[in-house]
Amino acid sequence: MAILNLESLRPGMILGTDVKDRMGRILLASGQEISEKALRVFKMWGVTEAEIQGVDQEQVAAMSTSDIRQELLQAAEEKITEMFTHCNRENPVVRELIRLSTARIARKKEETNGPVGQPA
Amino acid sequence: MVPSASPRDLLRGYVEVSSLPMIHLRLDEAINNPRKSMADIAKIIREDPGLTARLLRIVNSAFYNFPSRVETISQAVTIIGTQQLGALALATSVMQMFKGIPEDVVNMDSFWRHSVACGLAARVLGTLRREQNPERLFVAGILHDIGRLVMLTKATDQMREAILQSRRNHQLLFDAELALFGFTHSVIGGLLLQTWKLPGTLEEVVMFHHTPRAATKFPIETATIHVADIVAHCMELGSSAENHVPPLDEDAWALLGLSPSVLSSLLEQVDRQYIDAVHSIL
Repeated sequence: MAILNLESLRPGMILGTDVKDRMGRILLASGQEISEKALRVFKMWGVTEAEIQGVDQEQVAAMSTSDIRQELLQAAEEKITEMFTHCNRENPVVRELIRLSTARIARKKEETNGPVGQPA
Repeated sequence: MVPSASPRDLLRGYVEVSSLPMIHLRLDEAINNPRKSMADIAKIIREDPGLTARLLRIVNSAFYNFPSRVETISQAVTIIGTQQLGALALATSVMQMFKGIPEDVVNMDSFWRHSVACGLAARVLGTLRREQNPERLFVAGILHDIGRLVMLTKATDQMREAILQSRRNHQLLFDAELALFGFTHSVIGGLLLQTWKLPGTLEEVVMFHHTPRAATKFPIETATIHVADIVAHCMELGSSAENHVPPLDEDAWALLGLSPSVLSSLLEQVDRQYIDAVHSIL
């Protein structure tokens, strides 16, 4: 089971826990399949994440950067390691910031360099 | 090198920034006085044509994204509110005060870019938490590193040494400051706001943005700026001369009551607003 951000959710995924709005009202129950309409409802009610069955957190992290060229990703990771020297990388907030920043730096680099060759 | 004696010594005799323009004290007073109307507040702002122009530029930027043009300060007061406009007025005025600093001492553009990014992140965190006045957080973000500007101008050599040392030893500039000065930019910033007689929130937030646990009166606001600063560092928007992402205080994050999954939308929103905010504010 893994927690996915709203933008990573796709129709057809199966919920691992209930999705609730801010008031605690259940929008879609655990075990249900996410539909296109459910995604719209989540967005409308300010849902930011959902727990999904059948994937683990590692896979999710890999999925979010699968479109980025490997060497750019590696360069970004090196830079991030230096930047985050003084942070506790085990903390979930730091971990999420590292994931987002790595992808962001690599994507920025890709934009400035333009697409060269095929993604690795 | 002459070691500076105390934070107060550093501020003493810094004439250019020793007092805040009177207009802000009057504005602050009028905003908190229930007998003053919106028209009274607009009138005070209009006395300063430069301020009026800067505010209208910000209010009309994509930062707010209003459907139609805001032509006058009276309109601006009605639409975004007196407290919010007062906060924005303060931010732009402080930036004006530090305008004369030579470029070889500090790249001011880059410095303010980091501050704006922190302000934007703080504002988004505020709206995520349904804060009543997210503009106040924006201002706190703009001002959070102001102490560093004081140190860079009043103790240039010592501060340059601190920066060099932190680079050489892969150290936080915060720690290098502590080692060389015996205090950090956050204390100087807090003291400066104190001399300006600004609301206690700003003073405490700036004073403790690296040590949020020490904030006793405004822990949530302080935690917000603490996190916003970290986010601004991750995004590498501008630079405050600090090369590393400051360590996160887990209790401060917990205090905000947000899930880590809000971060991706937070970064996106800051990215979206950043260019426009920089154009309209700098």
